[in-house]
Formats: sequence, structure tokens, C-alpha cells
Amino acid sequence: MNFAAIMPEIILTAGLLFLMVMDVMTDGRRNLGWYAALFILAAGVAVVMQFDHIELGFSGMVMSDRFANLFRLIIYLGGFLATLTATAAWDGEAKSVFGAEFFSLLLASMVGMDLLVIGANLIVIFIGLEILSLPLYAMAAGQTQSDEAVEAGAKYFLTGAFASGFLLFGIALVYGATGSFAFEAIGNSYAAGPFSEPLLLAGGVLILIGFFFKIAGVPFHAWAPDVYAGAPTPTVAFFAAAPKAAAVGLLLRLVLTTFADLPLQTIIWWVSWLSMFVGNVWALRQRDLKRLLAYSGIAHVGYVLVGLCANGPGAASSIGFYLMGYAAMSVGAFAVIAAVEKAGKATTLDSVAGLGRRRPAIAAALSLFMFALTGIPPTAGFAGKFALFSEALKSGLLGLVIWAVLFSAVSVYYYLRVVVAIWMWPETGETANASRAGSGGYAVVLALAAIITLLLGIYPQPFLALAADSLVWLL
Amino acid sequence: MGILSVLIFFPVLCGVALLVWPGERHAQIRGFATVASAVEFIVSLWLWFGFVPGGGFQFVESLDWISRYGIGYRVGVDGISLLLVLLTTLLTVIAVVSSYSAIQTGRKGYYASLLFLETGVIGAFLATDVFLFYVFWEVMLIPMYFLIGVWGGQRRIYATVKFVLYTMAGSLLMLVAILWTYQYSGGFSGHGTFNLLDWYGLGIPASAQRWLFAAFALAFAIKVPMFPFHTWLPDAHVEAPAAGSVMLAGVLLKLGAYGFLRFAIPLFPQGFEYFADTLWILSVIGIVYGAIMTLIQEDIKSLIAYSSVSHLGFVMLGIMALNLVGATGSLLQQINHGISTGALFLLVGMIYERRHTRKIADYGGIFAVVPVFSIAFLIVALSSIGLPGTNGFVGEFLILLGAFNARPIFATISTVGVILAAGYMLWLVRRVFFGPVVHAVNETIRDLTRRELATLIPLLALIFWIGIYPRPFLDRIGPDLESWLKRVRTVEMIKAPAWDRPTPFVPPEAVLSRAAGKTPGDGGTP
Repeated sequence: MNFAAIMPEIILTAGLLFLMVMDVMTDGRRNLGWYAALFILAAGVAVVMQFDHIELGFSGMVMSDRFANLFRLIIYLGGFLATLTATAAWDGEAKSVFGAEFFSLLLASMVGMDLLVIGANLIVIFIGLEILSLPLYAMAAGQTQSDEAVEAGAKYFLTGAFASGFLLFGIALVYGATGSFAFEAIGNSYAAGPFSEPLLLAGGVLILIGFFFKIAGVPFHAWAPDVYAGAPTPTVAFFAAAPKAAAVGLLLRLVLTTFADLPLQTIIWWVSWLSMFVGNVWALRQRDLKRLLAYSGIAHVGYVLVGLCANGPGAASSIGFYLMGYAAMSVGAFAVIAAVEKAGKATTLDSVAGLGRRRPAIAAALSLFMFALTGIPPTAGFAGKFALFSEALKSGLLGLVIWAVLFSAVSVYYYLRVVVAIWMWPETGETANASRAGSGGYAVVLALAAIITLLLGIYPQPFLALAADSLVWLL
Repeated sequence: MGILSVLIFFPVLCGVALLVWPGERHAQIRGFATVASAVEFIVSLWLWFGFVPGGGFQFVESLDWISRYGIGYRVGVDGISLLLVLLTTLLTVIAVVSSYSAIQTGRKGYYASLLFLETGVIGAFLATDVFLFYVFWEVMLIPMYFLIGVWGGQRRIYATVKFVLYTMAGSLLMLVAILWTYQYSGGFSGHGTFNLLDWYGLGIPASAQRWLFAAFALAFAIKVPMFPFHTWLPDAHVEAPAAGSVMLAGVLLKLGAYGFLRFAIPLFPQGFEYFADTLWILSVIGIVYGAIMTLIQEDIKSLIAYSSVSHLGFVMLGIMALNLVGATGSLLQQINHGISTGALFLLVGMIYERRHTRKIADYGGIFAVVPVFSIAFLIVALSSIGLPGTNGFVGEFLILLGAFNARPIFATISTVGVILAAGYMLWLVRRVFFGPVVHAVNETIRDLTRRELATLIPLLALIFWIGIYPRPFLDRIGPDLESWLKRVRTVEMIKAPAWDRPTPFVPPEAVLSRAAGKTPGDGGTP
């Protein structure tokens, strides 16, 4: 019973209980988002304080090492920014979607994400995935008066259940092949001799597929655009970064250590290849910003998987670095959309047309995030792609990297179309509405996301070093 | 903090200051931008006087930046970049001053974009770290994108998106080549470097050099632009505001040619050798095609844009000759093109402000109405043609001399471009300025104001200075080009095929270096 190993999760759980009590006490009239943000911050501090420790807990079921701590911090970054976005979206009504329930669910989901990256046992992974997913289904459907939101929640739930099925089946096969759920034992039994290779391989592939569903890698992506478009925007801001970071963290651990000897590169290669293609090409014809960013997210999963395919300590650290920047820029982009939506009730390109003239600061922030997602220096998006592709070339993945940059060039078109709409299109009635949005809360999250996006682009050295120091231990 | 860092970062800081400046008065905004760009220009003059010809990279600064990846903040100036930097700072001042009355909306963003652009361009010229170069190379797209897209003409969005897509598509493949070379420099173990000077000595195998050169060359060829990658240029020029065109033609295009000089050819000489014939052919096609296309243009700006395609073909010709005369001429011609075409776009912008049309057919016979404007236009047009006594003559003459010395047949074909240039420019002048005044509205056009004249005078002065006494310029660029040639030709002499081989005669290098008071250097005949 080593509670140090799960201290941050304890803090998050305490936070969610606290919020529920507060909700009853204040009768839902207080904006509780700030408290949630505070608890995430506290959990982050707990992680930082024990960053260098290796804590094994609960009979080796969880292992809190530097790798886990790095990914916890990335998850908290995404969660923190999304929490601030939801806080700003609170409209002051007692029945607000972004009341105590929302933030409690958010914290619960983050506990699940943490379990994915600290879990050292497939059972913990499965539990973590369920704790992660169930709150997300509820959050997606949270806006119960909106048909789209309910549809989004239902779709997300169905595909999520499907993914859990894959994962469970995979776990069963792996157990059948190796007789163990523990990562280390699975790795060792394989090293001792490939006595039941096909079974183990099938199990590994199924587990991988389960998580490809979660990160929306093609061809397991179909849910993402509908869910992104239907769910409330602050929820989507949360979907966009944190769960992906957790799932990718777990995939890294599995592919680099437990399943290191399995030939999983081929399937990762293909999912990466397809994700970059489908994400970028389908994004070209989207007029709804949330759908556009959904496809953009699929494309970015493709880039991350390039690093996973490269399969080495350098590539792993570049993935960590990439996800830090991605958390800031994608959540930042959704925060702008949330601000626009709060006033105008629409999230199409038309609703941001001419925004630059009315609200130059918000427009500048959205432009920055678009440039960052495109991968134009000096932003985190460029530094991240640079690190990823550089490591991939080291592993000889020239073809995949060329594919990646070709589709980065394609992505220029749709990201810049947003910038074109902001600054170069004439204003519409919807923009006029958007200009009335109160932006006090958004200012904080936008400033924070913008600073991180620029900092990681201009001076990435310390963050690259942090990622590298954390991930070198993995091997 | 050395002078080069000041040159790079002063404009961007001023641009940011301008954006957060609380005042909205136009006089304040344009005054601030003018002072900022003027200070930048005066500081850059220090390079001109403090520069030691032949001293390699000077004013060098080197700091660790991302040491994990062997990336440093490394900058330096040599004979190849010196004049281009000065051209940039001069043209920025002129661009700012020329925009006083042309830009009516969003002035803060406009002037800030010009200053950001200056930072990007100067940074790209000064970087001696390939990563740093790439960063500036990409960064400069963004202000140009806004300049065209926000303050441009009717089809500005189409033009600006096309401009960015073209440039990005090329440069992303270059990024792959850069990353690969980085990994090669570290033996694929992750301890490579991005230091350009180290890259020169890598000795990359010839098979890899081919695709690496192709990737670099594509990015630069789009920027130059070489035929058939030029189609973005006329659109961008026609739609850009006048000052945007000045910066685009004056300095942005130079980055393409500069990229060949600094990166593509010396890094991958064998790759260049492999593609040399293709590039020669494309350059010659560009020269002739650009010149022919000007003949059917109805818009003055797109006429000048196509003439740029033709002129930059000459610039490429001089580089590919791989001899001192050609390279010197090419570099000088880059400056000349910046001056002449920059001035032409300025003049078109001025007349556009008055009549709000750029159609050639809308003018005619305005020489009598606006004599000062017409004389200025005539001088610039003649320098663009390459009349002896103007800067254009010196550059084109040296280029053709070098080209004849390397590939006589290609050089002969490209002289067609010179003849056509005289044709289309003088025809343009005749249609716009001479004959009777066809449209009554043209009888009341105002002549140049003092401010407009002030923006033109430095350019006119340079046209004659370089045309009559180019020595100070040639002295500064010559020695570094000699060492450039040594680097490029270390591997193997580029051999022209039998059907296009020059007959040996006194190498023009000897003539040139005798004129400069030096002993003959390495021969130009391959």
C-alpha cells in the first residue's frame, strides 16, 4: 500500500468529492471551475515534488516513474486548460452544463487517464480506460436539451464500448499466451522464448486497436468528427488533448517495453499513414470549425504515430514534447471557438469571419494556434514536428516522413482558411454577435495557451531535455 | 549582443511595440514605423563600412540554442549576404514611406507586418545555422501572407493562399532534406549539428546528394521563381499592395537565388552536377518565356512580374555558370533587380493611387501631364533593360560573359531575353507615356509629390552609381565568391557536353581581376 505512488490521483479524487459537496452547499449558484483547476494544480505540484522517484505500489499494479510523471503533467496541462475553458463558459445559471457535475466528471476522467500511464498491469489499464471513458460519455451528452449532444454521447458510448471489447479480448489473449497480466511478466515470458507467438501477437494487436479507437487513429476514427461537432465545446477541448496524451503514453510503454519484441510496427505504420491522409484530406472540406479540428486531430495522431513507429528513446521523448505543445495549441483553439460560440451560438467559418476587426486579441490567438497546428515556426507545432520527424529519419522512416510533410503542406490550406476568414473575409451578422462575448475567463486560458505555444517553439531546449530525461528510463 | 542580432531583432521588437501602441493617429503610427526602419537602415550601414572583403563570415555570433539537436543561434555576414541585407533595409524604409497614403485601414498591422517581414528576411540572409535559416525562411511567409491577403486587391485571398501553399509545399520537402542531412552529420546516432560550416565538409555520398539537392532546389526554385514554378508570382504581385510588391520582388525572390548560392549548390555539388542541365534549360526557358509573356499582359504590374521571371532567369544563369564572372554578375544582378523592379513597382503604385487602374490601355500620352514621373519611369525602365551606364548593364553583361564561358549555346539563346526586354519595356513606355492623351481623366493627374520623389531618389542614385562605378560593390562580393567557387568545385569540375562546350579564350576572370588589381585567380573555363 504505497500511497505515494497514487498521491496525485488521491488529490484529484478529493477534488471531485469536494466539488460535489460544494455543489449541494452553494445550491449550484457558484462557478466551481476555479476549484477544479486548483485541485489539478495541486495534483501537478504533487507530481513535480516526486518527479524523480520511482514508486511501486499495490503489489506492482501501479508504477509511478518519471515516464508516468511526464505524461501526468501533460494530461494535467490539457485538463487544466480545458477546465479554465469550461469555467469561462459557465453562464451563471443554476442549471448550467458546466456546473459541479461537469467538473467532477472531468476530474474522475483524469484519474482514469493517470491510471493508464502509471498502470503496470493490464487489469489496471482496463479499469483506467473505463474510468477515463465513462465520464467522457456523460460529458459529451451533458447538454441534454441539445439533440446533437445526446447523439454525440450515444455515438461515443457505442464506439467506446466497442473499443473496450477489443481491449478486453486482447488482454484475454495475452493472458492466455503468457499467463500474466503484469507488464514485466509478459515481457519476460516472451523474452524467455516465443512459445505462443501468434496468440500474443493477436492480443497485442487487439490491445493496440482498442487504443487506436481512443485516440481516433484511422480507420478507427469515424466517431470523432460527430462527437466533436455535437458535444459542448469546452468538453471537446478536454477530449482533444488529455485522453490522447494518456492513451499515447500507454501505447509508448507497451510498444517500447512490454511488446518490444512483437512486430507491431507495421500496423502502427499503416494507421499513421492513413491518419495523416484521411485527417488532412477530409479536413479540407469542413466549414464547421469543430469538425475541422476533429479531422485535424486525426491528422495529428498520424504525426504522433510516426514517432511511435520510429520506436526508440529519442522518438519517445519527441512524442512527449510534441504532446505538450499539442495540448496547449489544440485546447487553445477550442477555447477561442468556445468564446465565439458562447456569443454567437455557431461554430462555422462564417461565425469567425472578420473577427480580426472586432476582437483582434482573440483573433490573433486563434491565428497563432492555427499556425502552430500547421507547424510554422516559431511555435510549438513546428518544434514538435521537427523533433518527431528528425527522430523518425534517424530510424530510417524516410518514406513516412515525406508522406507526413506532404500532408502537412495540404493542411496549410485548411488551417490558413480559418486565418483568412478571421482577417480577410467581410464581417457577417454572426461575427457581430461574437464580438459581444465576455472574455474575462477566456483571456486567462488563451494567454496561457499562447505563451506555452510560443515558449515551446522559441526555447524548446529545457522541455526537450525534460522529455528525454523522463523517457530514457523507459528502456 | 552583436550588431547582427540588433539588425535581426530590432524590427520585430518595433513591430510588437507598434501593435500594442495605444494611439490610433496615423501620423504617430507611420512616424514610428518610419523611424524604426530608418534606424535599422542606418545601423545596417555599419556593415558596409566595417566589412572586410574576403574575410569570410564576419560579425559572427554563436550561441547555444537547442543543444540537444546541435542547433545554435549562429549568424554571420559575408560578401554573398552583405549587399542583400543592405538592400533589404533600404527597401523596407522605402516601402514604409511609400505607403503613407496608399494604406487606409489597419495601419498598425500593416506597418508591423512590414517590420516583421524585415526581421524574417534579414534573419534568413544572416543565418549560418541551417535550422535557424529554416525558421526565418518560414517565418517571413506569415507577414507577407497578411500583406497580400489583408491589404491587397480584388483577388487577394486567392493570390495569398496560392503564394503560401506553393512556398510551403516546396519548403517542407526541404525540411526533410535538412533533417536527413542533420542525421547524416551525426552518423544517424542523434549527435549531429546544424552548423552550416560543418555541413560544407560532410562529404555526402553522391546518390544521396541527388535527392537532397532536388529537395532544396525545389524550395528555392519556387521562391526564385524558376519556370515552371512561377505561376504564383504574377498573381501575388498583381494583388499585393505596392509596398508588398516592392518587398516581394526586391528581397523575397532573392532568397531563392541566395539559397542556391549558400545552400543547395555548395552543400550538394554532385547533386547539382546531376541536375545542372535541367536547371540550365529551365533558366533559359524562364528567360525567354517570361519575356514573351510580358508582351501579352494588359496590366502593368503583371507585365513587370513576368519581366521578373525573365530577369531572375538571368540571375540563375550566372550562378550556374560556376565561374567568377557569372557568379559576381548574378549577385550584382540580384541587387540590381531589387533596385529596378522595386522602383518600377513603386512607380506603378504611385500612378495607381492617382487613377485606380493599372491597365495599360487606360493610360497613354501622360508624359506631358506628369513629366517628372515619366522621366523617373523611363530611367528605371532603361536600367531594367540594361542600358550601358545603368546598373542593369553591368549585371547582365557579367552574367552573359560568364554564361558564354560555360555553355555558349544556352547563353546565346538567352540573349534573346535581352532583346525582348528592350522590346517590351520600351513598348510599355510608348503605350503609357507617349502619343496623344487618349482618356480625358488622365489630363489632371498630379505629378510626383516630394515624399514620393524622396522614395525614388535613393534608387535612382543607386542605378547610376552601380552603372557607372560598380567597383565598391564588386570588391565586396568578389573575394567571397572566389572561395565559394573553390568550395563548389572541389569535387569535380562540371563538364559541359560536347555539343555545348566553350572554345577557350582569355578567361574573363583574368580581365576582371586585372581590373581589380589582382593576379588572375582560378580559371573560368571548365
